[in-house]
Amino acid sequence: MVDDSSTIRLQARRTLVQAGYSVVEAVDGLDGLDKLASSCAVALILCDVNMPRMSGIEFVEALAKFGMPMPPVVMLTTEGHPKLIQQAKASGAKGWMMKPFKPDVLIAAAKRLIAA
Amino acid sequence: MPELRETIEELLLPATRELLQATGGERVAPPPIDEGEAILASIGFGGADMKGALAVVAVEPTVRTLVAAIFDTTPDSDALLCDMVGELSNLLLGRYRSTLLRIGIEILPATPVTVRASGMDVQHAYGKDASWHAFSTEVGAFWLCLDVSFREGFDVASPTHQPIEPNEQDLVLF
Repeated sequence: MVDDSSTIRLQARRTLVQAGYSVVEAVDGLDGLDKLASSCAVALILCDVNMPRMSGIEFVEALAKFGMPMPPVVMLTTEGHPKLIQQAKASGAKGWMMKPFKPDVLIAAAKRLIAA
Repeated sequence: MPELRETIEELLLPATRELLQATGGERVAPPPIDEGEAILASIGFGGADMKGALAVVAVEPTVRTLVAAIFDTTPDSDALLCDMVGELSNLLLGRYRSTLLRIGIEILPATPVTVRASGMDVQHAYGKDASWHAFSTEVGAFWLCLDVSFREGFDVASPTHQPIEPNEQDLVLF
């Protein structure tokens, strides 16, 4: 869960933990890359777009060059600009979810992408 | 450009009422925040046609109750409370961006900053053309500041009335 907002991280963590998932949190794209380098296997990444230091799009682009199989990435954001969505898709993201998110939609997306 | 500013405000204020589940939005003088601690969250934005900032501010008990209802989470620390108010400003700006896209205006957001203080002097914190709007909610008053400037010669296009997708809470899988 990569988001500079502790509110969103808390909401997502609560939702995913209740559904039986473990959650690793990062506060921006750079922190996300650090956590990925040091964490065990990650099955799904939820990532904000607008963050300090490294944006979500930059994070996905860096992830694609990471030298390891890329877990599915869903962008979780208030952004809805078609250009950004296309940019995320071209970078390898698998989904785009608008904040505030519905817990049941997040769980359904997690199940579907992790099973794929 | 007072008419242009008013046009933009008329477009944006309904999104504010909807998110805050509030009434009002009438223009007011900068609010005297003198009823104890207040929390203010501000988020800047920029674009080719307009730039500026929005700010939301209310006294601490009002903010606490309001964000708890919006995020379905009781803030259990001051840090989380401030983050939630910042996220509220981010959600508001997200709604504004969708509204502005319909009239061809693209803006890019910054990240929100939050201030918590007693006796906050908000009157001098924003530009001379900044407008303040008061909202009533079940848990107290809430103020919104729109501090916007426009590119010279800029005018608003007619709204397209085309839905901007995805909307809040939507999920798109590629």
